[in-house]
Amino acid sequence: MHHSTFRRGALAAVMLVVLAVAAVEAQRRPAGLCNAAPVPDALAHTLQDATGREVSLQSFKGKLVLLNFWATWCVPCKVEIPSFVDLYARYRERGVEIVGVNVAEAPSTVTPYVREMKVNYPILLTGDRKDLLETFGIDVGLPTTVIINRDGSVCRKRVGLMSKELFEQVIKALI
Amino acid sequence: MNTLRMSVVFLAAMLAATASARAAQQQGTPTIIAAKRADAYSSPKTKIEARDKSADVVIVLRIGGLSREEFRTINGDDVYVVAGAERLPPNVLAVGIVEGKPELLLVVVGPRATRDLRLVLGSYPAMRFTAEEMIAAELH
Repeated sequence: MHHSTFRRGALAAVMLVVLAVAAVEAQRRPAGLCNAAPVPDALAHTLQDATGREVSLQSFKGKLVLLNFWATWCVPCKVEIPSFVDLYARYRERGVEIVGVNVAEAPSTVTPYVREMKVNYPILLTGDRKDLLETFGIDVGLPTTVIINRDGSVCRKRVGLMSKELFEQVIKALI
Repeated sequence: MNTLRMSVVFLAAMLAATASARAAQQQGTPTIIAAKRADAYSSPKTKIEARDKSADVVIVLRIGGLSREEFRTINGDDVYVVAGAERLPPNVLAVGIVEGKPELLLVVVGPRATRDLRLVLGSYPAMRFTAEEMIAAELH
């Protein structure tokens, strides 16, 4: 009897702590930071890298993921890439994963460009697949960056050039 | 011997002319497909509007006429609008494919009174344009 009461009390205490932590986390995030519509199974996709190796987005779960959709001919993407290189170097150890998802270009186009831009983060290719673009609603333009929380939920989506300062603000608020 | 040499020179000249004509055909010219003014521009996740609507206006430009390879050579930091002597940096800069052709979307906020505007697009010659009269309070 006493044992059962103690167990229930302990469980309630744990739940209170969890709720309190969640409330503090929610308050820590600036209002309106997460503005994206829910994307079910956002990480349930597997893409190839430029060498043909299969990479599951599930492998990034547990990290704050910046999924940047880009192309070599995309003028603003070229401005963003050095920012991502710098942010990845500084935040990777703190659980931030930046993943460049090239849209509809061949590995022979992507590989030399990535080398030239000294990209230090993983690059995956959509090839001619449309499912991933449909999942994230990539129909308007590039660059589009989707920010995915550690729990796999989509927090924010931004179409068009975004400054390094703004990316860093979002990263700091979410890690 | 001389005839042979002349034939070789002629053939080389022909080949060079053909290659040059082909290159000229491939070389695009940047074109302003549309230039519009509005109080605001909004996309599903972004809204751009002038802080002082009596003084400023949102200008939305669609730029095409270039191939993907030509777009690739443009430095994004060198894409902006000049209104009079004022440089207007992009509030939105994105690319997309419209009817199978690559396009650049540029949104800036600038002085409502200035109609004489220039688009700077990398190393291409700056293009003068006049934004159309407001066709809607808010463009999408």
